[in-house]
Amino acid sequence: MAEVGYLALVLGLFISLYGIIAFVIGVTKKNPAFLASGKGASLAAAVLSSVTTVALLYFLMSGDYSINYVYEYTSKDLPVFYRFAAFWAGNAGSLLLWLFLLTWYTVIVAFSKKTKQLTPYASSILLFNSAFFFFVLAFLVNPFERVPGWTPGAVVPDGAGMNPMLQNPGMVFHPLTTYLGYVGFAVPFAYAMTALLTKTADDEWIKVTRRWTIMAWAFLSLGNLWGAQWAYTELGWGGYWGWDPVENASFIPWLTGSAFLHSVMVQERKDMLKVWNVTLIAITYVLTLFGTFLVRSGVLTSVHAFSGGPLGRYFLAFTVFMLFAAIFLIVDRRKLLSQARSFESFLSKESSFLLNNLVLVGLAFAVFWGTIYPLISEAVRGVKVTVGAPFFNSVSAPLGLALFLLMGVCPLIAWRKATLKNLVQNFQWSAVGAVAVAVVLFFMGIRKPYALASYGIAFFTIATILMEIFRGTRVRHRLTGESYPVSFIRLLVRNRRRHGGYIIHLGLVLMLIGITGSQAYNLDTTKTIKVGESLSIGQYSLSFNNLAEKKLTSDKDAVYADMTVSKNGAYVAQIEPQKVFYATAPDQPESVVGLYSTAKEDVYVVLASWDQNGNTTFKAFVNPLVIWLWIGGYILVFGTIFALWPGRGSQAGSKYVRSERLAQEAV
Amino acid sequence: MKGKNVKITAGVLVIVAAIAYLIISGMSSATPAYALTVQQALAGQGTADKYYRIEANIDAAHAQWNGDKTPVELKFDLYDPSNPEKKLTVIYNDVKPDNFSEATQAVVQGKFNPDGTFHADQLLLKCPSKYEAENTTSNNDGPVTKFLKSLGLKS
Repeated sequence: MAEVGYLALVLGLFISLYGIIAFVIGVTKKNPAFLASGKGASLAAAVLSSVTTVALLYFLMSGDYSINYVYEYTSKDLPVFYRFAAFWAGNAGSLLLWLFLLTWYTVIVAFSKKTKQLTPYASSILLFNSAFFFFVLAFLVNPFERVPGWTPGAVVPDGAGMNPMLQNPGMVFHPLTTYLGYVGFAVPFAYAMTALLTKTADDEWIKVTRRWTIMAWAFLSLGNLWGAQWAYTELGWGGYWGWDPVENASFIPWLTGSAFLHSVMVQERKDMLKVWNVTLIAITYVLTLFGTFLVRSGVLTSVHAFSGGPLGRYFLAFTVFMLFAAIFLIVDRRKLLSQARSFESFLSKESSFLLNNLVLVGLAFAVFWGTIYPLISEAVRGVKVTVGAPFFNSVSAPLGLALFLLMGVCPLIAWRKATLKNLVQNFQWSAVGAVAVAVVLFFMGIRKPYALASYGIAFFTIATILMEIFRGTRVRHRLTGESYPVSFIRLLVRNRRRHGGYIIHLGLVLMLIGITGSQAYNLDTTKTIKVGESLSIGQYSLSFNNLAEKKLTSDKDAVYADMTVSKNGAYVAQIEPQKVFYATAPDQPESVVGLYSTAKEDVYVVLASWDQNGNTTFKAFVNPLVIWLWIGGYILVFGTIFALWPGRGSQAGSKYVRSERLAQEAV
Repeated sequence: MKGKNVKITAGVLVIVAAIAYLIISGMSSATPAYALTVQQALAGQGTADKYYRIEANIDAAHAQWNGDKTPVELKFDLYDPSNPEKKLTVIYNDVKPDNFSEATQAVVQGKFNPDGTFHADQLLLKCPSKYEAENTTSNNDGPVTKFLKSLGLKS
């Protein structure tokens, strides 16, 4: 079975390379047989990667601990759920997951009926990617390597077990969604390069890849969200985002991907920003590779530590190759990309999109710069200098707020040229409301400038979006005579792309509210107390009633503290912060946070340590508004699904927007 | 048309300059952490006013935890892998991370105390044994040899 899995990798490498050749011959000689053969090769590569995947899963599930990977990440008493998740717990398996997704994405592209001319090229580019991953898995990180010192026939009784920190539902969902996102950006990249290769100047590649891009973006959003949630509930430091290099590695392509999603609209509508769009998707794709390089090479210290080894070099080489190939194509075909129109006014939707793009890419660059600064400073000054959260916060706060302000302004500003008059008309009430909100909050005791600005902007953006939807509903109600609720629902459903975008924006604003509250007004305390005593934090008092031990499963014991939470003297909840001890890792307990979560704030308690005398140390936090970060995140995902839902209303693009707006202006 | 493009270009440049300014001012206001080895630290190369980052091996087994102090205190030694005898004492006023006992390597960020000990405000631990095993087989093996070995076809 191990041999079969391994052989599939080697075969997969050759089949992928063959597929590229077949496609190229098929296209240049206009030979349908070769084109069909290329398609077949894509499918074969996917089947082969699946064989390897199934083989590794089989070993994980059946517990053959002579396979090093199985030995490292599982043990006899590991629940099936985590045996499955162990698939991507390590280097080899996570790369295999990448390959698995990539090869099946390639099949979808290769067999797509929509794009006859572009398909062979796009498929070839994707196959080239697959070939790299087949190569890496076959020759650098063989997932089927046996444990050191193994001789044929020897049985290894049990494995080392999965790190307790990884035994969290987050382990199942966070890597999977992040990879679905990461890999997904390869498809729009492949089509963009195809458009350049085939000298296709139109925006067909954008139309074809719109769904891919949004899907990849949404998965990456969800991956980051689940990663943050996992960090929050698991690591016991009261936070959800630490500007760790690996977090940044998935945040940076998310930012450039967001920029791309917006700027392609300008190309669709106005035939502008062509060079920019191709560049953006190339950057996004290269950043997904670069992020993987950062994680796998060990050049930066991170919580997601994979060991070093030769893998990093190959990843870097591949990344650089793809980067230069993309740059070459863009420079070589720049004439093709000359734009048909230019900007007509500062006050226009296209220039507001340009602004949004500059800020998103600027923020991406700032995060990128901060992340790789240790490498730059070492190269230039000979000493590794690390910048941490203070740098990232100081840059991302103003740029982030600018983005949220634009989020309120952009959707309502007219294409081509807006007049000052309709700007005032559109925004006066939201702007007045935003200032009012800031003033009220100021008198309620919120004095931090960033927090005030953030809440004011949040109000402004929510208000403009809701007013826009209200106006649309009213127009529809008047034109069609439908009742208000029916008009409202039909308005949303008939142009899902647009209103899905609004829903996503609303979700993001809620996330902003959560981030602002938890960053600006969090409290924390660390205190050692005995049973019967209590510790106080903010308006809360936590009484420590008991410290005891309980058996969770045959291999898991928990030490837990029974605590009563009261607010201003009144009982609110009972919480139970725990430390869970796994039989496979007796020295590494897993903290389970005692959490009392409300719309206003989270009370978050970690049981840190205890001694024989009953001195028990707790770390407690009050994190305001955190729940809105999660709620906003799920609204964002809902908005994406809403926008992508197929059928009538899903394709309505900017033209529809214009006619609707005309109707609106006519009223 | 041309005039408008100049205006837009100027606008773009202004924004780019603003972002560049934010990055540069962020770099100078945020405390950057300078990398130091334990050996350099013990030789007194760290000055009291600067913020440092030390990556080294950690002696987690002999760490001292004092939860009764305010603030709480975790005291442990760091050493360079090349020179395990020379140890730097680190004081960290926070609780033990869950993976502390298993840790073999640590990254600390902080400042030096007047007595030469290091006062860390950040502690990051690495447990290579759990995340990814160090390759214990000979590193000189090429991939093919490794593969043959893994199949038991070569010893």
